[in-house]
This record gives sequence, C-alpha cells and structure tokens, in this order.
Amino acid sequence: MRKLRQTLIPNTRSWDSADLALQGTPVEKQKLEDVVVNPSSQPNFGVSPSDNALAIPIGTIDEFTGQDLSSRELFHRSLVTAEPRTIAKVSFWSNKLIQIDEQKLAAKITENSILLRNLDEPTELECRLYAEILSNNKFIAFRNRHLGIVDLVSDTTDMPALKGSDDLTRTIERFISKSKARLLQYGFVIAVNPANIFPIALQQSSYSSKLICVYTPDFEGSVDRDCIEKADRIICTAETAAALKDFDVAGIDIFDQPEQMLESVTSCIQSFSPKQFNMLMPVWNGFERIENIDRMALTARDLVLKLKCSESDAPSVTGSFSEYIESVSKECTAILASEGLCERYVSLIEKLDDKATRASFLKRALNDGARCEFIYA
Amino acid sequence: MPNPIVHLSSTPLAGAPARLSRTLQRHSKFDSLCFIERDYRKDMAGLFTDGALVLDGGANKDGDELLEMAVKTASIIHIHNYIPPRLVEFVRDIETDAQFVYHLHSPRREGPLYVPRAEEFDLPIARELVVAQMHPRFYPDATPVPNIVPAAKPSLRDPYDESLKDKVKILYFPAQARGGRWNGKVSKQLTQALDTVSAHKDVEIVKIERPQPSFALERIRRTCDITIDEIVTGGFHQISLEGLQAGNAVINGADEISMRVMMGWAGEKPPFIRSHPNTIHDDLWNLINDRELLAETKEISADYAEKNMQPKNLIKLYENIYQQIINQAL
Repeated sequence: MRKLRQTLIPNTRSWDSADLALQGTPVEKQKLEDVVVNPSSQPNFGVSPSDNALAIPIGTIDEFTGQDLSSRELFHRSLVTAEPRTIAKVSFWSNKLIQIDEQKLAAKITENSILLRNLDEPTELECRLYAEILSNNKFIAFRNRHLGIVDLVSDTTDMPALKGSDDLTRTIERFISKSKARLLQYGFVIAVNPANIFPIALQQSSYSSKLICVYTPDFEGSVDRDCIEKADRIICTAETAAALKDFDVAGIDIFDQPEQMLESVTSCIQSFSPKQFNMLMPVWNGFERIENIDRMALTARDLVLKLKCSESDAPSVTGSFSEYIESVSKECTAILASEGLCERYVSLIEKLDDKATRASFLKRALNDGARCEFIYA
Repeated sequence: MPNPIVHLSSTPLAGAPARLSRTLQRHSKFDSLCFIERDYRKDMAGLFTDGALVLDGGANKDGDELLEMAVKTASIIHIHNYIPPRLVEFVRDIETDAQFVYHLHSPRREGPLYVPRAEEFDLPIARELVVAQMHPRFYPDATPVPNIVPAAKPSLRDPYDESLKDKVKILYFPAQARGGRWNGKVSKQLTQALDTVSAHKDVEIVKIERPQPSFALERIRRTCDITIDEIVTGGFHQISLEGLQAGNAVINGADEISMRVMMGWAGEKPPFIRSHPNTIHDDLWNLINDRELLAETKEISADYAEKNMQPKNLIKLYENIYQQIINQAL
C-alpha cells in the first residue's frame, strides 16, 4: 500500500462561466474550494507542473433560494443537463443489449477513461468525486475527448437469460460486438463505490483496460469481493485498506482526506502510463549481476525468474497451472519485473518475502498477460 | 466398450473438437460423437466440420434426435468453450447419467469467450480442461490437455536434395483475423522482415489467398521449409504444432511458460525458434543463409513430432481423464 506523496493545500478562488459550463450548472455566485497540488514526479500527460492546480467546485449556492447545495443535489441537477460524453446508460438487472456509443477519442488508449457513474443513491462524496472528474479539464484523461461516461442504475429486474446466477457472463454477453470493439479504446475504467460486478464486466470485455475502484469514506454498502480481487488498483482510506489486508489486492493507494480523492485517481492513472524503457527491476532478491539480462530486456519480457535448479530439473506443467506455480515458487530465488509490472502490482510486490504472496503475484501477473523467462542454475 | 463421449461446441473451433472426437474413435476404447451448433460462415464454411454433425441451431431435426439419443447413453458430455442457451436447455432436459467435462479453448478478456462459462451452464461439471498452449495461465485450476494435430507425414521437400536447394519457402498465413492480446497474430516488424526477405531471389513467401481445409493446408505446409506462427503474444498456436508435424522449422514467440506447458504433455522441450519483433529479421536470415542449419532444424522438428506428438499416444491423456471421471462416479 502506498500513500499519496503530494501535500494538498486548500485554497479559495472564484470561477468564471466557462469553468462552470463544464459541469452544466449555470450559477452565478460560487463558493469554491481549490486544491493546489505540488508538482508530481510522475509523467504528466501533457499537463505542465504549473498547470497542476486543479480547481474543484464543491458546494454551490442555488441561484433562486440562495441556499448551499450539496454535492448530491448538484449531481442530480447535472443529470438533467445532457452530458455529451455519456456513451451508455445501463440498467444492471435488465437483459437488454448494451450499446456503447462511438466517441471521438485520442489515439493513445492510456489517455482515455470511462467513468462509471452509479445513479442509485450515490453518497455525498461519490457525487463530489463525479463532479470533480467531470469538471476537470486539466488532467488529460478527463478532458472531453478522453472521457466517456457510463451511467448505471439497478432498478429493473428481468429474468436472467440463462438459469444460474452468473451475472458476469450475462452482462458481458449484453455488450454488442461493436460495443466491445469500442471498449478497447479506453485504458481505464473508474468505478466509485462499486456494489456489483458491472465494473468487472467492463474490464473483462476488453484486454486493454485497467479497473480503478475508489471507495469514498462515506460508503457504507457491502464491498463486492470480485471487484476487490480483480481491480487493478483500489483507492481508499487507511481504514478501508486495513479491512482488505487478507485479500490479494494488486495495488492500493491511500488517501487521508476526501479532498485527496481526485488527486489519487489522477496519480493512479499516471502511474499506469507506458514506460519509456520499461526496464527489468529486481523486485525480490536479484540485485546481483545477471548474464544476458540486456538481451532479455530487448525481448520485451515482463517477468524474469531466477531458479535454483537446472533447466533439465525444472518443473513442467504436468498438473494444473496452480500446482505448477507452487513448484516454480519453491525453486525461485529471485524475481525481476518490468517497470510496468512494478507499478501494476505494487501491493503484492511489497509482500514478496511471503511464499504464498509470491505464488499469488506470479499467478496474477501471468493471468493478466505477463510474458516470462527463466534463468536456470 | 464404454458408453460414448459426446462432444458439444457452439462453433467448429478450428476443428479441435471434431479432430479429438475422430482420434478417440480411431485410437481409444471410447466411441465418440461430435455435435456443433453452427458452422462458420462464408469462406470458412465446411472447412472444420469434418467428422462432426452440424445442428444448425435446431434446424437439423435429425441432428437433434441423434443428439438426444447420444446424450441419454453418454458416459461423458464434453463441452468445448461454450454452448448457446438452446443447447444448454436441450441437454438439461434429457435424463442422463453422463458426467460433464468443460474444456476451455480461448483466452480471457477477448473474444469469443471473455470469461469461463461453466457456471452459466448450471450443469454438474466434473472436470475442467484447458488447451495446453498459452491458455493454462488464464485458467490455473483446469487440467491442461493438448490439441490433437494429425500425425506427422514426411516433408515433401528434402532440403538435402540439390534440385530443391534453390529457394527457401516460408509459410505465413494468419488465417484468423481476430485481434487481441493473445489472439493477435500480426506485427509490423514481422511484416517488414517478410517484405525484406521476400525481395531476395532465394526466398519464396507462400501465400494462401483464402482459407483452406486442414488437409490442404497440411499438404501445402509439407512443401514449405519454414512455418511462422506469431511473435507478439508470448504464446503459440496450433499452427506451430502443425509446422512441427510437417517437418518445418517453426518460428514463434513462445515465452518460457508456454514452453513448459508443452513440455508437460509432450515430454521434451519443443524445438521452436523463439523470436521477437526485435529479432525476427535476424532469425529469418540465419535460417535462409545457413541451409545446413535449416535442414537440421527441419529434421529436428520432424523427429520431435514423430516421437512426442503422435495422436495415438496423446489421446491416452484424454482416455485417462475420462476413465478417472467415470470411476469416481461409480
């Protein structure tokens, strides 16, 4: 688990009408709270460090009554205004086909995101995060040509198409093939307080997307176990992270204050950006000089395992793959991983001294598509 | 003879279920029948259904009747990848003592499967199997089993024959256009390398304009020297196995995990030339310029297939699994 590296400094300033138009709330007087973020050492996605002042409108005054509006009210009002970036409206329990509308997007998929917006009684902070993301035109992955919105409700209950309770398959089957092709254009799915498997259905319908699950401090619903285990990154408070300690979570980012949620999401997306060299790094032992490592790096392998056995004595896959990974873990004396993998499995990599976690890490990385080579004794 | 094995598949799956069924009939104690819900369309129609009965989504009434009879008496119902709701309901409504096997042929997060489907069938699956190429990493608890590829026949090109030494023939035919992390077969560097070598007078790239039945492809492959699979995913495909069977030098991008999967069922490390977009150009030229190396590599491929990939031997892996399941059910 890692905490945010940046310091957040609350500030105040007024907004002009152009800023507000992004959120679709035509109000004149605003009580606004800005967050200034220290320049990050991460790749900046086209945002220069001086541009990193993220302006977040939180709480506004109703133009007629003069009362403060909560984030939730703002959120519901924003739904009335047509959001041109909405690419699908989905009822989770329906069996109707899901069409993802075409969106003119940037060419690089790692700069395009889907914001999955839960319309079923979102919490106050959930609404706030939606508003912050939608009003943010500084961070590239949230700009108009980079962000698609999928609105999700769970209101109707049709009978599932097949007997059984496999909602994941049912949901994936609902995406028409054109929709699945369109999902490939997005590098990230952002789900806030996910309560069902729909975010996983989005993730599993595309080999290119990473699932980021954010749990807000005011979330009181039950956590979907599959979402926790399949998410590429969990963003939550330390308290929630502590409750997840028994799960093999790929990566957890912790925030202290709700004001830090947005910045956690942007930092997370930046951390997944393609690495220029994507060098192999020792993640468990492996600090000694290794012959031919340069050639291995050239062949775009994501994982290199050093084994204590010879090639002829090394185990092969004669039973299940899980059994094989157990055998390989026993023979493994060092692990090198590409920079991309180091970021992706940051929480697992921190615990590689534990044998069971080593096996979990290898299984997870290989399942996600890592290519692996061995160095035999 | 034990009661039959019934294979069910939604599509021909490039011939894998039908070939398995035929091999069981020929080389095992089990009788076997293969039913396919729908054939491929257009120029792929009829290419991979040899030995299987196509149900046409229920339009083939005789086929459905035969399926009903077969399911009633089957010892094992072997479901490949996924079957449509019609077939699930059809099978569920038949009274049978058969045990169910579920066999995964495709990777996750891309078509046609995306996720394993066993749960949605709501059938008592006794064992999950997975194609033993790159796939076991996606389904770690399934039992890896090999795709059966027809037995080796000698290459029609003897590389030591002086009259055939003039040109190196390379077969590169990415038949399936489907893209994806694991289904993708095309890379810019490979295309560039093939463009470069094809300009050489000693090289011929064998082009196949439209999909051909497997016996025709096998024949064409036996007239070639080099089979190129794909070099981008870290896996290998049936093309690599067919290349070994035809006595070709086989180039792919298998990572060490994929190699260890094949060693698990074949017993020995496969003699693939493992390449990568950064090295494909040099790897191809090495074979083209060194005819002794090419001849030796082809011979090693043919010997390996002869020794480790005979269908009559590989089918025993399936026989054992079926027998274990039947014994457990008694």
